[in-house]
Amino acid sequence: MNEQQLQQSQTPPSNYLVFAILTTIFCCQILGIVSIVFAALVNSRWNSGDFQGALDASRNAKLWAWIAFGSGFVVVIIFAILAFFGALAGILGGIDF
Amino acid sequence: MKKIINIGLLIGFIGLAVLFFVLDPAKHNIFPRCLFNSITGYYCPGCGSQRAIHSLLHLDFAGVVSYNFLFIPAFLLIVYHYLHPILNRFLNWKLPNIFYFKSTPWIIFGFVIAFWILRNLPFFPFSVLPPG
Repeated sequence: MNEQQLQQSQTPPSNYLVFAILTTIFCCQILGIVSIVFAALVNSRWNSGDFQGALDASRNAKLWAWIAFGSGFVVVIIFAILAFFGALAGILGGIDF
Repeated sequence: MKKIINIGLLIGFIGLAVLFFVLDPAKHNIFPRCLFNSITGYYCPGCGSQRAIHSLLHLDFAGVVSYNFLFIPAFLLIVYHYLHPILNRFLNWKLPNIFYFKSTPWIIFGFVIAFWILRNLPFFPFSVLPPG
């Protein structure tokens, strides 16, 4: 979407605030907060008429929310693998787990 | 293709909800621990969320608040976000899309940072904020 179309459309670009809040609460505070800050930039730039800036901030908000989600996902996978091998070691060793 | 992904996501969410309903994250160690808490020993703004989900699914609201004070406000905010266009359409209300107010993200940012600091303070009344 180019700048002219944006000005005509009257709606600000998505600020991904829901996504940012979810990642902040469930796993990845630091990266999620970066995304919240970009969401704030989307709104303030849109209000001051900086449409291109709002669009840039929107892209960054999306990027950082996904980075947060991805990092959380990797941690969950690593945890699941460790839990699996821990359980396996318990079975093979005949120890109660 | 999109339909398949959506159905997959729905099944995934229901599966997770069942998992969090049946197993209590406070008692079982198959649930991932907070990385920030494991490394630093301090609580992050999200610590306690998994136990809060378990409490919420059992309608134990006191438990939700004690595990994570910001969980219910955040939950209500997100419910509002998805509900308000539906209410506006079917009841002709004019509820605003608060997520696009100029100051909303900054207010949320302020609350999260303040909560992060306050729940790590060891004295009353902030000593009630850490989970567990």
